[in-house]
Amino acid sequence: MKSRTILLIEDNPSDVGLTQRALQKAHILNNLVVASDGQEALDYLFGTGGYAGRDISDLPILTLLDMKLPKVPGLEVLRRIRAEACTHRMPVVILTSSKQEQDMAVAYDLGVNSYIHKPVDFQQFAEAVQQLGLYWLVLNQSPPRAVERMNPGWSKIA
Amino acid sequence: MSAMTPEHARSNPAADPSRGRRGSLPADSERALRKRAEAVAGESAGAIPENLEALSPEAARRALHELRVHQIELEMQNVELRRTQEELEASRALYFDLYDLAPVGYFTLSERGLILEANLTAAQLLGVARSALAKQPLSRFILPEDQDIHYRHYKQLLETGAPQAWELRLLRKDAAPFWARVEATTALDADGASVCRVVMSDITERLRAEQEIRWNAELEQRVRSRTAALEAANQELEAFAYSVAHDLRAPLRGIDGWSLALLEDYGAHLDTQAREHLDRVRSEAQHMGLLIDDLLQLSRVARAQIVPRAVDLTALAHTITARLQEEHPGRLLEFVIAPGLTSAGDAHLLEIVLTNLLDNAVKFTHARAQARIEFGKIEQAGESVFFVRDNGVGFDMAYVGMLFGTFQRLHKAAEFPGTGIGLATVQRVIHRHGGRVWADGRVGEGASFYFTLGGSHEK
Repeated sequence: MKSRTILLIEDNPSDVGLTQRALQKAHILNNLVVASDGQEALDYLFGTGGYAGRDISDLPILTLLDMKLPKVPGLEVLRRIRAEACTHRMPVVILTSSKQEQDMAVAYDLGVNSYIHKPVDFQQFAEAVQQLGLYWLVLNQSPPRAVERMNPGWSKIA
Repeated sequence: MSAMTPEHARSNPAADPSRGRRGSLPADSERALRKRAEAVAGESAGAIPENLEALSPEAARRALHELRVHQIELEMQNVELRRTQEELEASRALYFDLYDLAPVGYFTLSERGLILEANLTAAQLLGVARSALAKQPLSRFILPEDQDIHYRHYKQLLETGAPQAWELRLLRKDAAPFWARVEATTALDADGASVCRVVMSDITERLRAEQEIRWNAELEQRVRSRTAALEAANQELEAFAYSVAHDLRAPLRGIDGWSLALLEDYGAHLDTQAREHLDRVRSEAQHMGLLIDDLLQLSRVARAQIVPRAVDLTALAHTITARLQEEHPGRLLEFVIAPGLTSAGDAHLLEIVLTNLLDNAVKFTHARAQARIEFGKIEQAGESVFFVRDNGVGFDMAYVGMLFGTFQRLHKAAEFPGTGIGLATVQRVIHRHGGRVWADGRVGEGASFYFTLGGSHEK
């Protein structure tokens, strides 16, 4: 079975590289899609722009979201994800340098699943990513697909 | 008085304010009257009949009676006259009081604006003798710049007959011009000529009060705009802190991460020294990360809203020391925490205080086989003083002043790692609670940190 995608929304190439490295170290071999700004992430998720025509029912198993992003900021991306029926149950983990309390409060109010502060020490970061992978990709039961549950014709198909 | 004739004195009581209101005719004037009466009587002596002897006793008695009646009548007239005189004087005194000593200046002006009459207050206002006002144009006492205002209103008054009021600056002899309010109406004098009655008052005080009100309003406005500027600056600072948090930490993570990548991927190709250099790059990057974190905490502590609640300091200390024990598995740490310590304060900020103080205590006892770290409370002058005491390396009291300064360190970084921001943060939290913090120590004999939490009394 094809492993489900991890969506990394991050504009800093160095951080993208480090995250990839941390995922490899943790033996997380899922396909990684990188969106380098908020708009690109939304395009990917909703099949618009450069991702027009993409099968949007193929949701990422985990989305790693940075807070400070070009074009559409992280909190706005989160708000849009939670506002759309097809994505609103999707696991989103904020992975950011910001420890701003108000950011954290807003993110939780918007329904983020976890808020992880990226440490400067790469080893600590790698450990965090490993735990993240273990939890979200192995231990956690994925939510039922929101689209299917909300589709009135679903019972007939079944 | 002596220089004046009695007549003059009586006709103008106002000229001599020292004179009693109800003063009767003086003895002098009575004697003078008598003299005059005798003189008149002497001239008309012929009116007395020559043949008094020829009068019958009956006629003489009648004449005598007639004289008695005349005398009584005269005396009564005299009493009446004196009473009238006294009333007149009382009335004049009242007039003097009301007119001349009024708290405002009164003028009677001719249509052409010449001063016909003025009270004493008016003369005082203009700083001249009253006699110097007679027949003078009032405009002579008006500041050149304000002549127009006066002219316009005076013209309006004469044309319309409607009462007018205006404000202008008047010249005072040998003094600075002053602001006055002028109110004027038209009237007819005893001869039926049209005159203007003018009331003038010094409004310097009122204007000063108004100016003060304006200044106060201006000051308040300035305070408001400064506050707004301060709030804007604060927001900017917050944005700056946000940038620091995000933007500065990211490159540091890169430096650390890629140095490690280099070590991991190419370590085999590097000699020992090259690997040591890379280790140093990483430790410096990590240290800078800590510095940034501590600085951000310091600035957050300064801005954070204090939410005072009853805080269980004993429980808080137990939580923190359990964590410290976990972080230092190889250390023998004895924590002595007094039971039942509580205080009103912000739980989050007080946790920062205790974390910093206990963390320091653990750090500076690392050379001790057994570290003993105490958290307790003493009563001092009716005030609860909390303390954290250790048996560590202590410090020289000569440098106690540096302890709470930002980036100030008393120990070499190699010996005791740290950022030099912890105690500055502690001090800021304590100050924000209205409390005090101080330290006591001796080299080699441990250190004690004391703090109070201001008005937040122990509960």
